[in-house]
Amino acid sequence: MSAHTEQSRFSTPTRPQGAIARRQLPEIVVGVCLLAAPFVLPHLGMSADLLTRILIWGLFGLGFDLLFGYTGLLSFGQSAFYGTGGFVTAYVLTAGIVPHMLLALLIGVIISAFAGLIIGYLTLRRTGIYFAMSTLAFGEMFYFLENSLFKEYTGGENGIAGVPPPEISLGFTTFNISSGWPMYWFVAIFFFVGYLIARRIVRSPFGAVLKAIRGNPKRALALGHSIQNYKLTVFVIAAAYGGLAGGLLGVFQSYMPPDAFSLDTSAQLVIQTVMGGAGTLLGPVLGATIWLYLYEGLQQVSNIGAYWKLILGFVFVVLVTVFRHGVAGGVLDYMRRGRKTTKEIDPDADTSAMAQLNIVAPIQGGRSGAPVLEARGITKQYGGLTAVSDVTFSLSEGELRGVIGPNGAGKSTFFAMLAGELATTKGQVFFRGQEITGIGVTAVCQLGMSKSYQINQLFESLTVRQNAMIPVLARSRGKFRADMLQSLHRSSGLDEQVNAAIELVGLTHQADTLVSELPYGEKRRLEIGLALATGANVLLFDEPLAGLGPEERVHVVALLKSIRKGRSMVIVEHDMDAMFELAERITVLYEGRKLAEGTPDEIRMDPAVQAAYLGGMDEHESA
Amino acid sequence: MSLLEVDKINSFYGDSHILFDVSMRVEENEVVALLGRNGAGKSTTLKSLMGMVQAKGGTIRHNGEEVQHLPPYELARRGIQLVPEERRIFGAITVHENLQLAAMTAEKARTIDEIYETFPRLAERRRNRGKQLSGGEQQMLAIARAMIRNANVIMLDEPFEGLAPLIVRDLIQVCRNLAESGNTIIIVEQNVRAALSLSDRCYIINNGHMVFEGTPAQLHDDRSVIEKYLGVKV
Amino acid sequence: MPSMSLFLSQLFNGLATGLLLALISTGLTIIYGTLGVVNFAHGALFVVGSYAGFTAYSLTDSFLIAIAAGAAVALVVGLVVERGLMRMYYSRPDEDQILVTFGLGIILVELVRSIFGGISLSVPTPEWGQGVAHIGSLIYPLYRLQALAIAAGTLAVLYYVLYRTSLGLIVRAGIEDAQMVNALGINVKRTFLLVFGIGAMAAGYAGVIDSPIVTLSPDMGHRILVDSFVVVVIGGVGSFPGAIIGGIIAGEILSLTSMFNPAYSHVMLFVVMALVLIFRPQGLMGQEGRE
Repeated sequence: MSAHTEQSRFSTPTRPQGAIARRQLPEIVVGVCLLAAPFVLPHLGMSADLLTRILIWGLFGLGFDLLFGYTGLLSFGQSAFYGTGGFVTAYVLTAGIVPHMLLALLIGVIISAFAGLIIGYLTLRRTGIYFAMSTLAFGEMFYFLENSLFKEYTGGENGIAGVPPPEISLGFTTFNISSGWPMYWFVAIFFFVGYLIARRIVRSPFGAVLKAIRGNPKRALALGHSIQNYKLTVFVIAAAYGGLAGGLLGVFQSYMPPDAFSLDTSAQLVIQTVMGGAGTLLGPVLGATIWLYLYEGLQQVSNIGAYWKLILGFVFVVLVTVFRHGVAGGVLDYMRRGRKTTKEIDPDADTSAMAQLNIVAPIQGGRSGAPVLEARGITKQYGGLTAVSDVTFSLSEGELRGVIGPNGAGKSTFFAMLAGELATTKGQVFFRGQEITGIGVTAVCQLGMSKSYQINQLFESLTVRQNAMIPVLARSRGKFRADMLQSLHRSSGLDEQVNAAIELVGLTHQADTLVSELPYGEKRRLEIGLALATGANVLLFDEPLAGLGPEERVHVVALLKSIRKGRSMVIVEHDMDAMFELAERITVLYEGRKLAEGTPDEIRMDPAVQAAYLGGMDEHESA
Repeated sequence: MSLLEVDKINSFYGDSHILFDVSMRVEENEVVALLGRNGAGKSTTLKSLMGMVQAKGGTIRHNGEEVQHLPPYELARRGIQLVPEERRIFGAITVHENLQLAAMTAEKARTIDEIYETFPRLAERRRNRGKQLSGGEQQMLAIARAMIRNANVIMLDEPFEGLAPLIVRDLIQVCRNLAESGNTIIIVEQNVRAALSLSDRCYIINNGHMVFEGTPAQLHDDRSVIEKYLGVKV
Repeated sequence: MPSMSLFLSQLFNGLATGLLLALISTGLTIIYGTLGVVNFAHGALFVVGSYAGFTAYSLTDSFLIAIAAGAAVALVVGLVVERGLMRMYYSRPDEDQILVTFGLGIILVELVRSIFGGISLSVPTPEWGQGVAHIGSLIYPLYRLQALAIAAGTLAVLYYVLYRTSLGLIVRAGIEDAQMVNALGINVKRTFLLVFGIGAMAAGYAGVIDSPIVTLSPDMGHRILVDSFVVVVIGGVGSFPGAIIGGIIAGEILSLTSMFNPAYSHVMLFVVMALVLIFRPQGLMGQEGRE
């Protein structure tokens, strides 16, 4: 083991007591609020029943916020799972199949999670608007199924009445949970546990990937994460939370209403979450407080009572337009502005640990001297148009190759095929002897090759450190791991890699700055840094100098030179000065074909290359 | 007063700085070539003139009036017309409809029949939808759209790219006719020979900076400039 | 086994429902194709139109005026919404647009509820629509046949506008490449404002046409919203022919399934949508990869 790793094993960061408390602050605050509520809130006119209802919505919203606030998936059909969990639990209890209430709730959760698996699979085939529309439709489908296919189990329009009040038997004694405050405590425990779990998920490696998916799904995919698996998993988690909330609703009311399945329910969830602030976990519970308090409160005022939903609609539209992040978000923004800094320090991150940036070890068994990256006669045709024709390309270990060509030469298409992004019409691409033709960016990244983009593809709402963490997570965990209950900074190994990557591109002083606040030149460095952080031993750079001023170009050229050790690189660029300074060999593409290949000097002297660039300024123009 | 005056504009894609203090001028009835390797900023310059890319800092004057803040449709109505690099003809509508659309807001539009006389090929294909046309026909249509608007500044962005030499020869003739009938043209091309054969003056742009202004003859005489900024000799 | 006349009657019902759905969905899909906005207030516009029509009908006893009133009110609401609110949202992410139109939908429906109350209202069939028509051996309510014809006629008019007028030309080109249309001297944003208005008007207009056939309630907008989404998913977003085909398919599914078991008719519709999502995610006439 290297000295660095030895060192890191012993340098487990000692976290002072204060830091632990700071880390767990939200959990403590929530716990205190839950404990204090029955003593404080009744003075504001809130009854035990109201608070219980708020918490049930809050629990429902925890799952939804993970889905929408953290992963960016706006679903209008969560009522499907709320209703499923609720009715399964209610049925199982009233039909006497399962006497234990906790077991009944568990069964409800499992069935609704399963429903989430199916619906998620179908709806996640599309994104954005299509996703929202199809979740809405499937939610409605469940509503109709309740009243048709499953009518005899659900009671159709009548729902299920007579759900027994909860009782927990511990053998020697039985707790009967009556309505009122005992019910509040009962539900509050579920909410608190649900909150603790959701917090863990958010602060886990799994949670970090979710945030990356919300920010820039294509880049998350290219950095080695199988985002469909993550999306489906969080969808199922949201369904499970919904199912639990629904089950508690039936137990709380002793009655399971069919409108649990309605579009109104899904809509109420969305509205509450947005009003309260998506992406905070507590947004839904805050939003539910606003909604239910408004409803009950306005009923007291005789004239307005009937218009409460109209008022709510206005409040909602105003909030979405003006306070994009809802109430909780607004509070957080205000606090951040108060701190007068754009830095977002992650209290758990170990900022001092440093190690050599790991580079993926080459696959054993390759012949030494064999090409690292190879394209054999690759061609790409689109209908009648040939973009790339029969190009053979071979990159050696440790080489830095430049690819140039006039416009329309087919460079981007060629590059995309080389990176395994695009399937070839003819010919194959090999990475260390393994065929990678069109296998896709995620698989290629996991094999040890990564690309940096011409237009910055970063996670704008995350910090530099958080950005660099994303590829490091894919390297250490593979394309998918369901480690939602683990802490992100459990071992310093990941932090070491993140710090090393940031250091390599000279962004340590900006590690905790939000990417959206960075100047363009630094964003460009981070763009390179992300590709480096994947641990790739073969790097592809698509116009790394794009948009940079003269001084910045010099710096980035120096950066590219400095990272060569242990890596092989291909650079596409138009800046000839830079290209000739960097590249050992240059490949020239022209009209989809390879025109020439050789050292910079050879290329410079080649009359065919000159002719290609100058469009026949010389006499040697081809007809 | 020049027809078009560009004074130290800086253009950005998002926060990516592409043009640095770029200046140029175009006189009436002139053909000006804008040369440079790809990625140098030629297209960005034309798009800035068309209002499709924000030109921050600096001014653009058309007939003496500042126009750098105007949206594309207002610039088009003033007579500035871009024939873009990707041609961007509308694939879902017919050749005839493409021309009708182009002529809609032109004050002194040419008639469609005039266009069909100039481009008999387009007349044959008038009922075909845009996506059914070949590359050369699409380029003809794109140029025809600018012609039907009777634009006073026609900007051609790489009109010959990706086309067979025979078609390029035909198009060069079309451009020559356009120039000879008194149109003002800015042409961006990588085919340096074709561009120079058409132009009265030329500019070279490199890494977002304007590095040369002169006549084709002056450029011919200075091989080092050609090789440094257009070819691959460094 | 259902009888022939029942089958035929349901077939016509399906066509009537389908064409009305097609009309509503056309509005939705054109708004999306040009402006990139998914109008979650579309069902609410249907409701607003229906109630405006009802009011006009009660005041004037003329169904034709009712149709005009419903369409006009929906048009005005659409224009006001676009000018007043939507223009702030074009640069914001899709989710925000969905949320704000959804909120607007709630406001509109609640306004209707506060004015008219929540009890169902029924709109009497106009005199020229009362009675039955004889189609061969089939006896079919006259107004439904007329509604079918009106819907078909309106779709034909929309087709004419879209494919034979300058406005339609701008819209069709604009759906493909709005920036280029701009560069050809046309202020597309202003055109799209009109498109939003027309899309809204289509929903309101359909609301009035449909009102003698159904009972009016402020909550009927939800059903319309869901159904038009299903139509757009099946037909393909941004496609006018897709909206028509999707609408007819949806209408017939609803109608024919209810012959066998009414409770399952909507379920069947969602099953078909699921199948489309699995086998042809871009919709029947949609373009591949267009989100």
